Amino acid sequence: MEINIVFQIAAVGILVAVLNQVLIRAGREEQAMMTTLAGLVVVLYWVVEYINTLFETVQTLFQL
Amino acid sequence: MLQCLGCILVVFATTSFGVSFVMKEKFRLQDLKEVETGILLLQNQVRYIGAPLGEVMEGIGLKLNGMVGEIFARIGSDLESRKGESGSVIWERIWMEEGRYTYLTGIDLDEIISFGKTISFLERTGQENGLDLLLISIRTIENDLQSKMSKNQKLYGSLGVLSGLLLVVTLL
Repeated sequence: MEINIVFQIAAVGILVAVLNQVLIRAGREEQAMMTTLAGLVVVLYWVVEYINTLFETVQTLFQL
Repeated sequence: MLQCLGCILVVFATTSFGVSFVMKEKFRLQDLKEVETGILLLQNQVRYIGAPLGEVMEGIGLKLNGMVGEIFARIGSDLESRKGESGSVIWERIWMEEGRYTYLTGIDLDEIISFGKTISFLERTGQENGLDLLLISIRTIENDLQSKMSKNQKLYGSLGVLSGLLLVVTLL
């Protein structure tokens, strides 16, 4: 696992937080929520592969 | 190096997209002001001079800028050509045909087209009242637009930059 993924997730988190605040201040709460959900989906998409690898490793390790 | 250039291009593109939304509202306001000027000139002509409508519209079309001026000029020339259509039919037809080449929205065009029903049907007082009503609607829309524009300018600009950065981080 590369360290870059951590920085990418952090950058997406910061940008989504700022976008969220900007949209809420402009009175567009629905768009703010959609942006947050989109950011969450993008990060989950990156992370799901590593979670899958983690479960496989645990299965192999404990011979489940 | 190429990656850097790509990132700059993406951020520039999304920022321009945001700015174009702001410019669209600015041009809409400009078109509304042109329509307001045209209606004021028409009001003066109807109230004080009483010249034929075709001549008046052509004169107004020459004084106004952009597409709105061309629309007034075309209405004037169609009225002068006397093909048997009434003033209100000509007004409605031309605004519906040419209005989509302006920055005016459906709501603005509905207000302008509904005024057409007073042309060539009502007497002078009725036409003046119709013009007053249209001016009030246009000024209300302009005031709303102006108050929203300053807020939206910052919003769309920052949204453009932030979404560009988000895209760059996601795609890198």
